[in-house]
Amino acid sequence: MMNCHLCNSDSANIQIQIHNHLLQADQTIQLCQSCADARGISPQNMKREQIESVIEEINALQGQQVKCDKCSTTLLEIRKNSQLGCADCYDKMGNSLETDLRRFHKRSSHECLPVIISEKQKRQRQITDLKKELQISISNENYEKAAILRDQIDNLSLL
Amino acid sequence: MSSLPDHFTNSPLPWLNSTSDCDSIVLSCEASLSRNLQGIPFPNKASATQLLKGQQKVQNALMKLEPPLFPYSFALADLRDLDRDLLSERRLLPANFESFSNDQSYLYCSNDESISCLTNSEDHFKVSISGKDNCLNEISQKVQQLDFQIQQHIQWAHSPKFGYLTASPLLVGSGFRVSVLVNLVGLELNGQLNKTVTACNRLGWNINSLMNDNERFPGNIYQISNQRTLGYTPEQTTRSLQELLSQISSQENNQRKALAFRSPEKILDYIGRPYGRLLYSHLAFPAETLHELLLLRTGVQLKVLQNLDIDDINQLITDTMNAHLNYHQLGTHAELAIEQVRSQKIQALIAE
Repeated sequence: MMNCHLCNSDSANIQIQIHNHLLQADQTIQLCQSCADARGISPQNMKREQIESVIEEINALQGQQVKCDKCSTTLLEIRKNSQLGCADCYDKMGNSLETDLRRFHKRSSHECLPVIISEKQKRQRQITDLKKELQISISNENYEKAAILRDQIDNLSLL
Repeated sequence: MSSLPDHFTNSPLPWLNSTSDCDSIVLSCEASLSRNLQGIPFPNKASATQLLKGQQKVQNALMKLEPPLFPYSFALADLRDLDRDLLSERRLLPANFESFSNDQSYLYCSNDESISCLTNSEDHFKVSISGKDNCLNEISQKVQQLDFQIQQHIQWAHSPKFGYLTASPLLVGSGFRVSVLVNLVGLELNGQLNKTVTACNRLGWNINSLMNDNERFPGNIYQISNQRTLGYTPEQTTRSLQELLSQISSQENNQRKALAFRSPEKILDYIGRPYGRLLYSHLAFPAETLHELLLLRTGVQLKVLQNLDIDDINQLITDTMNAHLNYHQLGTHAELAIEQVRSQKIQALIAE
């Protein structure tokens, strides 16, 4: 049996496939008999408006669950206010927001594009990467490599 | 009484150009970059202490710029409503600034108002450069150079996947917004405007009214700006707008020529009506007056009104804008309604 997208019980027996024009993709909704009955949906009798309101309900449920650890902004709040709370929201909810971003911008990433960054920022990024590598080396007890990395970090920090 | 320097209250609106050429379609353009500080939540979620810290960081970076660019700085919380409205009419503050401003929102401005920075508004930092006529490439390069200079002292929130991170997902990526103000009277009079607006929207461009009110378009002036920022560099966006603008300009010029050739009376009537209303009205209301004065301005550019000077009209538009007029009339002419004062000012120029 499948999981119901609304009550999460494993007794979903109705599967609805709908084309979402905004997201330009097919979306599948799974419902159990009791959730479908409560909303007046049956395989013989369903209207687009009913399905759209179910999609909104599912989005709201997902939005309440996904939350930024740093600023506590939920996905639902972002969709409602069109405002993210902090840079970490993009890390935490970036994947969930990809469809929305694609809808606004027709693209979902800024990769492969040249970005003007200063020497100082370049060094900061190198240091951050090296620090991550250092942690891995220490946890693997590769102390020789860790010593080299530590010196590299010190040299970059002095510049 | 006055808390803004005289320059801001008396000089003509910076977004009105002085070109009295009949081919003049672009009034002015503006390019802006929105940025946020690394490690501090965006203004809508930041605490008072975090906002203060962010403001100090940005201010320090701006003070280190060589040569100094911003002789004027205003704490928005210290300004009166009237001052803020006046700055909004000059397009130095966004129309929706009230929904985002807080105690640490500051506006920095250059001498000629062409460069401005807004801190702790929707994002921690927004720098805008504007210019008269079509100078898109120049202002787009300038705003990026300025951002690069500021980045020597400050680190912006950036991710390899999403580019520069902004509070609004509509700006993430380049954080770059570029816009032009265009006068599309020819397309409007020939009923071709809807086609152009639909085509622009489909191509990823927003068309808004001058005053961000999308029901009325005073003086047939439209603001075209980019919708898309993620996955596009500022150069790509500027180039696309330049291409779009050259197409719209050629369409508009064709329509103006067609009008002048086939039905010049249509233009004469279109400009003559507001001229008569302004000349004989006794109460001039702000929105209506702006629309009618902008039409007179178009009349001067199309050589329909030969006896008026474009600079005089620009000054009159400035002086009769709601906040500008209220600013100068505070405490004086108490016996007259502000609409009467506005009407008298207009008639003093036109009746000459």
